[in-house]
Amino acid sequence: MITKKRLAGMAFAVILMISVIYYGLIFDRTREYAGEEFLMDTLVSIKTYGNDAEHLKQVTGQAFAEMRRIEDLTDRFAEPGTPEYADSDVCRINEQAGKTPVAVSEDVFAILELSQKYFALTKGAFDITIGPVIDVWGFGKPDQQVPGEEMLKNALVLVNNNDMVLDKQHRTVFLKKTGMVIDLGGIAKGYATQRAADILKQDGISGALINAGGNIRVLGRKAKKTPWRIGIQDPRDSSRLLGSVELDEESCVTSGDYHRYFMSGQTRYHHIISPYSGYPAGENMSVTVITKDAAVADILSTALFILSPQDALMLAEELEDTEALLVTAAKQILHTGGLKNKVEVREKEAYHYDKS
Amino acid sequence: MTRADKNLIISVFLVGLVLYFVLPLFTETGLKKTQAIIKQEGKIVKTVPLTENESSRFTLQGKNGPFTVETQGGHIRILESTCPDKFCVKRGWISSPGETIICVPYEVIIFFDTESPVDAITG
Repeated sequence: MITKKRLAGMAFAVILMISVIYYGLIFDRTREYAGEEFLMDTLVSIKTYGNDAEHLKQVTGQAFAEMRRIEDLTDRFAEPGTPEYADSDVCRINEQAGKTPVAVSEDVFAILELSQKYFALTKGAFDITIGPVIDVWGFGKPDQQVPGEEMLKNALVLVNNNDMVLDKQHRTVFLKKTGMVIDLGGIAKGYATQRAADILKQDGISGALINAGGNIRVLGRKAKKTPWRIGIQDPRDSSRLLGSVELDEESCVTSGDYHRYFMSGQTRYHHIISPYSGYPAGENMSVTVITKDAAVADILSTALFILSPQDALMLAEELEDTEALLVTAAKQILHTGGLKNKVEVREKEAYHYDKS
Repeated sequence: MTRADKNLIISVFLVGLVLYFVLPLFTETGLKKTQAIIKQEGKIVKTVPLTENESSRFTLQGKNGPFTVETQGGHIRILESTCPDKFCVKRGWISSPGETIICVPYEVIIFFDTESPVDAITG
């Protein structure tokens, strides 16, 4: 027999139970703060997670400020005579090419050291002294054109990272030849992304995602405690995802031939120029690199894009804690062994993919 | 405690368990809305409902000049822009959650308010 008293007790229990569930659902939630800023020629979005909303807003602002600082130091296209020009280490280094060593900030020195290290590791595929060649193509400027043979040849002789001399003791940089130009387009965004991540980590937030135009770095966990899942864009159909990959305290950067390009006749010329030939690299459509440091991921995505698919995969396998996924010009999807259980490839119709 | 009481307790427990797993599904996804949001210099300037059989075309003011947006069959694109690089126009149509059109010189972002299956897109 169920008495009225018992029924009331049961009803109370049910209400209590539902309340507890709702309490768990609503109040156990970590706060999210999302910020967006146009920086470094792209949209940068930062999402942070933690318990104190005010603190999240404050540290996210600090991360943006740090990225802005790196942007100012590495801006290559500031107008001479402006305060921006004086603030840019890169403008001053290029101005003094062939003349005198230039004292630079710790950050720019660190970027240049890293560039030099990966120039050697990638057998010259990553070369920040590519500037003169980028300039004859006109990338970064209002008008682009296919340069004449002679013009390209003259620009290419200035490209050699071995002619960039770093003096660690005095923290100076010297470009040996007049006309040399360094361009940090293949590293600055990644370095700034990593710096932002370092700042957020120091401030003890529980999770963050920094996305600087596809240069991604994750920290900790988001509110739902599930792993971060990053979609990889299909290089030939921007409305589709090629697949997705899980990240854990890692960075993920993609270099593709479909972002910045111009048409000349029927030919498409994109902005990732091979320091070997002086022409846009043509063996891959896109290369995605996953590794801890966002600056290294940025460097390697550019370098592997320039190398042949075979050399790129071999190099990625050699490097520690580095994974890569390539979409080759022959429409083949290839990746390092370590991605086998980490990547999910969805787009199988338009590409050849052999998961083994 | 009678058998009926035990049954009641078990059913309450089961109902609670089911609710625990089912409710979050509703609160997370909610009703699927197809709306594109246009942000300009950090502020939402327009929300466009996207339906299969509706199309529209309108011009908005970017940071340094106008740009024209077109919608059709649940897709949205920047048709024309007076911006210097026109990357936003080259981006073409977008239609899925997570996709964005970004115009850096005019500080324009177009995206969908539906939740994306991924946290971010690299490309």
